[in-house]
Amino acid sequence: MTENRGLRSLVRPFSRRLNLVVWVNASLGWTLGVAGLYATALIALKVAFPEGARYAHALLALFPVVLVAGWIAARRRGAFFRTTEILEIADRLYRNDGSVTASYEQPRLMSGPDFFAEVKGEVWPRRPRLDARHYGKRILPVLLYCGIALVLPPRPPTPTQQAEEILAALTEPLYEKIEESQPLLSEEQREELIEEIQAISENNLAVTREQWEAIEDLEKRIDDAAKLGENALSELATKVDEISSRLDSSGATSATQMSSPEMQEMMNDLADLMKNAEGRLSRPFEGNLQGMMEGMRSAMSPGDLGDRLDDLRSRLSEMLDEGSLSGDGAAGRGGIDRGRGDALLVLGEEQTLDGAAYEEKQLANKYLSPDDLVSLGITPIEPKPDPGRFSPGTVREFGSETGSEVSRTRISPGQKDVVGKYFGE
Amino acid sequence: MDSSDAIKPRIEEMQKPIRNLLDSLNQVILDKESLVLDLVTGVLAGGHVLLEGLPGLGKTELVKGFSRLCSIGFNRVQFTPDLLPSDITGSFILQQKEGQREFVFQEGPVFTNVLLGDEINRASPKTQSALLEAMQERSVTVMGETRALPSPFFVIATQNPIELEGTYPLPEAQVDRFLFKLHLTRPASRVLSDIVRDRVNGAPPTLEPVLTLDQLRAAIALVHDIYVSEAVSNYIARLVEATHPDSPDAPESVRKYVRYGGSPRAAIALGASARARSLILGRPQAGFDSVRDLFGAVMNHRLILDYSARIDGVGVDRAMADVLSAVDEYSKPLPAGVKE
Repeated sequence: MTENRGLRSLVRPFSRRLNLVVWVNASLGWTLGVAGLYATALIALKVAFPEGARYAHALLALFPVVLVAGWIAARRRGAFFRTTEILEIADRLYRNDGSVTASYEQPRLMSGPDFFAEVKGEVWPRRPRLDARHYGKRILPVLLYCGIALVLPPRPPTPTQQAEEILAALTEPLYEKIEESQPLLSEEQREELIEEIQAISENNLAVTREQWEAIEDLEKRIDDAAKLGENALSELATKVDEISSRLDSSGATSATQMSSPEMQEMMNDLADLMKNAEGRLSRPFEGNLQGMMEGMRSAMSPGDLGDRLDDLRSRLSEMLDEGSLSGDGAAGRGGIDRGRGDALLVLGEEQTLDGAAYEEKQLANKYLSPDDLVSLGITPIEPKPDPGRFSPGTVREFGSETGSEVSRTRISPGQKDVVGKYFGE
Repeated sequence: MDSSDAIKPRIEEMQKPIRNLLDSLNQVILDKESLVLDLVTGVLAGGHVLLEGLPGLGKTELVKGFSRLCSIGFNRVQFTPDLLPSDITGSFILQQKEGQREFVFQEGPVFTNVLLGDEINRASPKTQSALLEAMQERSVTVMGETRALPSPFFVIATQNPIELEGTYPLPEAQVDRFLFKLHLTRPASRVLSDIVRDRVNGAPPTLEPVLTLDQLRAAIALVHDIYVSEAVSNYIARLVEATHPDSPDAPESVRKYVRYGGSPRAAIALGASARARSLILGRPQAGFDSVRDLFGAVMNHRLILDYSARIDGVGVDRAMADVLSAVDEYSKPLPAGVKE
């Protein structure tokens, strides 16, 4: 059987090729099925549950399983080519005269390496080849489908109504505060603050901790800006009082009785005050003040100047009253010096924040120690007290007019300063 | 020494006389190379051949020429309805010898190497059946005495497909004993012109023998040594199996029109004829190509069609062509996605 070795060098590559094709064919249907399933799952998840789209990749783990299953199935069906069957193909490709198969069974019939070399030389160039069109018709549509599934962008998440409501509830007081502080804020400040509020409101998919903190920071900045404006007005009013008193103490009844340098000094003081207040007050108010200043410059007599100063003083007083952010002392109507009382406090269903989770914990002696209180979230909707549900130590009563009731609830870090200030820390 | 070691020189040695025989026979009957090749194949396979063709096409001349070229005995029997079995096999006759009378067997025309049975379908079934033993056993039994026929012995019968009145179609059992049924068609006009010009009385040229009786016997014996590989024998088996209407591999035409397919004898005949063809081609092994070439000659008289085939005008040729198309030489087809 030594001559058969010559045929082995032909049979082995033939066998590898054809049996690989048999294996591929046996696995192809299932493989394409898994690929289609993967693409379908990917598309479905991208559309319905974009955050979970990555879970579709788990289906790729089925590919090796399918390949192994295909190999087992082909083996069980006897689909793999045996040596004699390979020889039949070689025989047909050679001369179809039975010489190849006969030489394998009867090596002496066709002797010599020349014969085997001749067979190999004639058969190998005509070996069966893969039909690219056959596989292309089957694989390309599935590949295309998978490609579409992969490049398909995940559906953008729709904003939740609850998040929109919460953001509106949080930002609306800011707008109101800006509106109320209009005389005390410059145009640039107002525009900048409004733009920042709008930027915070753009991400309305969910209310994040960062948004909460940004809103609180923004509120603080509004308060600070208003405070600066108010300080400028107060300072202006003080100076106006001072000038007015100087005018009264001079005892002059006409402009001629006042020395020109004295008058000029008062006017310069007023001009300095206006300059200091410039940029810290609203533009109409600044214009109004400028007009009044011009009127005072052109005053013909100290009496006239005094009248105008009184007018300016009353105007400044009005402005301070209008732009004041101080609260009226009622609960929930705090002010810049009493925390964020103006903000609409909406409590209700608990909001799940990223990474937040409630941990079930057995309390020792049914007592909740302060150490157990961990800030997990903020409840933005109207509260629904349920005394039977909450222990007396957590929530006892809401709606106190004075804020003197003892209430233990969890607050965010951003609120701690406000609460501390409210309770006079 | 393995028999296969010596077969190649023996085959090569036989090539020249066989080639001469074919060339000479092609001079006897013009433009029928394929038919001549099949006839010689059948004879070398040790089979009997049924020649079918219209009168005057040269059937008898072909057989006569063959026997003359092979230097073998030749007898001709014109089958007629009143022909008796003993007219073929021979019979005992009472003969007086040295004052005593005794029955002496008078050999009939069957005792020869080539028996030409002209218009075999005109004889009665009884007479046709007289040939059964001779064809199968190559012996004749008369009055309890069995006599062997000369070797080689083969029957070449002719059959006229027209003038069927008063004829007796050959029974299936007898048809099955013919290795081949060959159809002789009319010559092309060009060949006819040559015949008219060259053969005044239609007689073929006188040819000298090209093969001795011993050479013929040796050639027939050599056929048995031709190797049939498992793949080729599988192919033969699958082809014959596919001629049966109840076979899962049978094509639609076979399922619809064929009543009986090929018998195991048909498979044996196909294998033997493939061997003989390989000898003619100078090969030590039977090939797929020979099987395909000879499938028609072996099977065309063995497939029994039913009446629906006649109604639909479907012949046995179509069924055989469909079988050849349906049955691949590969026992296992190439996998999908692979092309030759």
